[in-house]
Amino acid sequence: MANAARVHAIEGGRDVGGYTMIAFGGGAPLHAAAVADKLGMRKVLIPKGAGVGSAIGFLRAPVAFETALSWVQRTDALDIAAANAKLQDVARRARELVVSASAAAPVEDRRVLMRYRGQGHEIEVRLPSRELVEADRAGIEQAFIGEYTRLYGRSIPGLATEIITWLVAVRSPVPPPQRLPEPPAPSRAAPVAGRREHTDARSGRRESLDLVERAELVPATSVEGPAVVVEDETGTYLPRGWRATSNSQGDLLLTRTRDGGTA
Amino acid sequence: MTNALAGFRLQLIWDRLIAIVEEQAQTLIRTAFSASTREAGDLSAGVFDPQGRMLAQAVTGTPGHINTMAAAVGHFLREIPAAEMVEGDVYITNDPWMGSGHLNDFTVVTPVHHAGELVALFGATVHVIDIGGQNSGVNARDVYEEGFYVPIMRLASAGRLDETLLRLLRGNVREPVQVEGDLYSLMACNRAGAQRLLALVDEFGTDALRQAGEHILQASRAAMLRAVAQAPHGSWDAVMEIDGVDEPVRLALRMTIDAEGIHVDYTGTSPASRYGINVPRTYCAAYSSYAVRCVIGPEVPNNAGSLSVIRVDAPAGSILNPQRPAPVCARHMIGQLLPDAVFGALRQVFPDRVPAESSSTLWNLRLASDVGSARPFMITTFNAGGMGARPDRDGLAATSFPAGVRNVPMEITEAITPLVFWRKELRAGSGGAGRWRGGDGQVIEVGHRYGEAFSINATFERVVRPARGAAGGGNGAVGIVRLSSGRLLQPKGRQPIPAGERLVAEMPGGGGIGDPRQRDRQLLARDVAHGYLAPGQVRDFDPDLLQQERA
Repeated sequence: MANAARVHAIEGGRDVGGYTMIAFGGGAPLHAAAVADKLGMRKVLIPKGAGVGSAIGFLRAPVAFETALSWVQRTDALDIAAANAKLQDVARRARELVVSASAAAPVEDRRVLMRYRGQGHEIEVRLPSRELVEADRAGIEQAFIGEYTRLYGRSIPGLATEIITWLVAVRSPVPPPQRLPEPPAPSRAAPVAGRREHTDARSGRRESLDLVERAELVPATSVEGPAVVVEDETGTYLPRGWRATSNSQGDLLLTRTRDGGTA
Repeated sequence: MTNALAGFRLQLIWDRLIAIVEEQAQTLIRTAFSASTREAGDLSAGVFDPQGRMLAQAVTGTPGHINTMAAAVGHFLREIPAAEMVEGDVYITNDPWMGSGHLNDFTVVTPVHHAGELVALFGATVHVIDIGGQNSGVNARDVYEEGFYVPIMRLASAGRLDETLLRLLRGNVREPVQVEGDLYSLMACNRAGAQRLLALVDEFGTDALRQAGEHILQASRAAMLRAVAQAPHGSWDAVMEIDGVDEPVRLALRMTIDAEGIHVDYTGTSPASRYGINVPRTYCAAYSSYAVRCVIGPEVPNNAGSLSVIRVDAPAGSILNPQRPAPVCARHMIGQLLPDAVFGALRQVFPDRVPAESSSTLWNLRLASDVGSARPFMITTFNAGGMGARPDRDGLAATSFPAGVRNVPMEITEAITPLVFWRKELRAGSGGAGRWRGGDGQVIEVGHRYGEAFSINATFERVVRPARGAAGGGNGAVGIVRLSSGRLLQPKGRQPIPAGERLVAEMPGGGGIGDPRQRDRQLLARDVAHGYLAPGQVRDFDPDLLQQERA
């Protein structure tokens, strides 16, 4: 999992160390802090209802409609007028649908699937979200070459490229989240509901974990690892060197309290 | 770290290596130009330790490429010592004896360095659509006629491509765009594997990787030896005669099992042919080992450790160990039949584990436009006849065994050529009768959209000698290649499909196992209901029906 995150981040040109990890799903809170350790991250957020995070996310996701249009075009011979007409038509119908479910002005995203002529599989390339002009033929080909080089290390000189599929995605805007007040500094430990024996995978040592009920971890309380914060839908494992507190919304905030948390 | 955790970590690294080479193979498929690679999975991909021993191979792939590649990397290391390898190097060859058996197959090997130290090598092989020369078929008189030869050499040196090699290659092949594109794909897939491996090294360290490599080889070899220990010690002989070109070819072998492992010796096999059906020793060993591994220790992962338990020999000058410059282009024809020959010996030791003979040799349709056509094309579509029945179930219909490649979908071929597939259907009743039926072959009828003439380059087997049944099972049907007008074509060689005619290929069936009268009646009823049997064939299974008809 850490490898996948690292690879994904590297491909996006980002260093994850300074980010906050958000973990949800039935299994993620069990592993989140350990994965964060491997990635050199110091902060993890376990949202309220993390165990059913996907369901909550689905309900709160923006309204969206995506169209994939199959229309093969050699990039260097792209019919610009026809492309604009098709994209406009597709976008208009998608906008009508999205706006019927969400009144706010929708956001549009355009991409194409492209390959070298003779290949059988495509890669995704972004299009400008405006009417295309003649100069865009070269621009789209450059974007493909850049993306291909990023993925596979080398582009192939002198080979024609082609566009296979045109993707237009329209979605309702996501309102910016409201800022929550800073949670108060923790002043007391959350009550311990029990203990469990556990072997730490890295050190091989037996440890005693404190069990804390999530409902008891209210703002101004904290729990120090090694511990597990338990709730109905999941459990959050806190390794040694991590602390958990809560904000006013009921989200858990995990922070690494000392360096060498990977020991 | 406790022993249990250390063992757990070794297994974790092994699993990760298997996932890495699978991703390597997928990258190859996604970027390949050759239709056989991207549509049929005709490829190999694997990771090797710095001594050139294969640690893991991608599941996607075919034994002819995988097991030859397992040997090839050792040849690369002899030509280019590890101490001379630097980051950014890429090595290449299409040497039939060092690589994968014929000039169409390019093997590319990429070293992986960590902090200046060689920690692994990635290898991958694809079959390119054209390599110049005769390119396919049996008619070349020596390997020089068969196409453009690239000895083991650098394709890239410290990151710089050898432009001279690429220029020469482009000038010597009929499809320079596709062929060069495939070389780029091979470089890309090895690079993807290398990146994932370096991430693994970052996490676990080079010592752990080295330990995992040793563990993989030792554990796999030990597991294979345990599997071999189930067999009695001794020697068993088998003979199988196949069509050949203008005279039959005799495949004779002696399989010996002892405490060291399994030895397959092909002394007694026909000598090298003047046609391009000779099988370089590495390809012979690849399919022979595969056959043994199907029956003994099939669950043990395939790597240098598990393969080390099997030795395959053929006398120098044999059709299975031809010497340079013998022609070898169509080595798959006999190579893919070798498992059937080896099964002839294995069946005497493990009758309950060995299938009947299969159609085996792929019935690939190599079709091309005539010279000067306004719509030039050249394709190979992979197709399979029936697989032999298995000891406890029917053989698979129209499924490639032992090559294990996918049939290329008609839609793909129709999208890139002016050909139209009029029929692609099961060949009813072509599977041999038995308690367990042999798999049915298939019938393909293909023509030109505009009625132009085109040509086929045929290398078809099991046209005269069928796949044999076992333990009382019937033989599979022989294959037929003809024109739609009825005229038979030759099973070997380049022949025209005249304007307006269509090609019809009726592919062989696999052999059956066991007495057909013992076949489960419900299965038989299903066979009849689904039209799997030829007219009247049900009588082979149910003599009572014959009685009823007479009554």
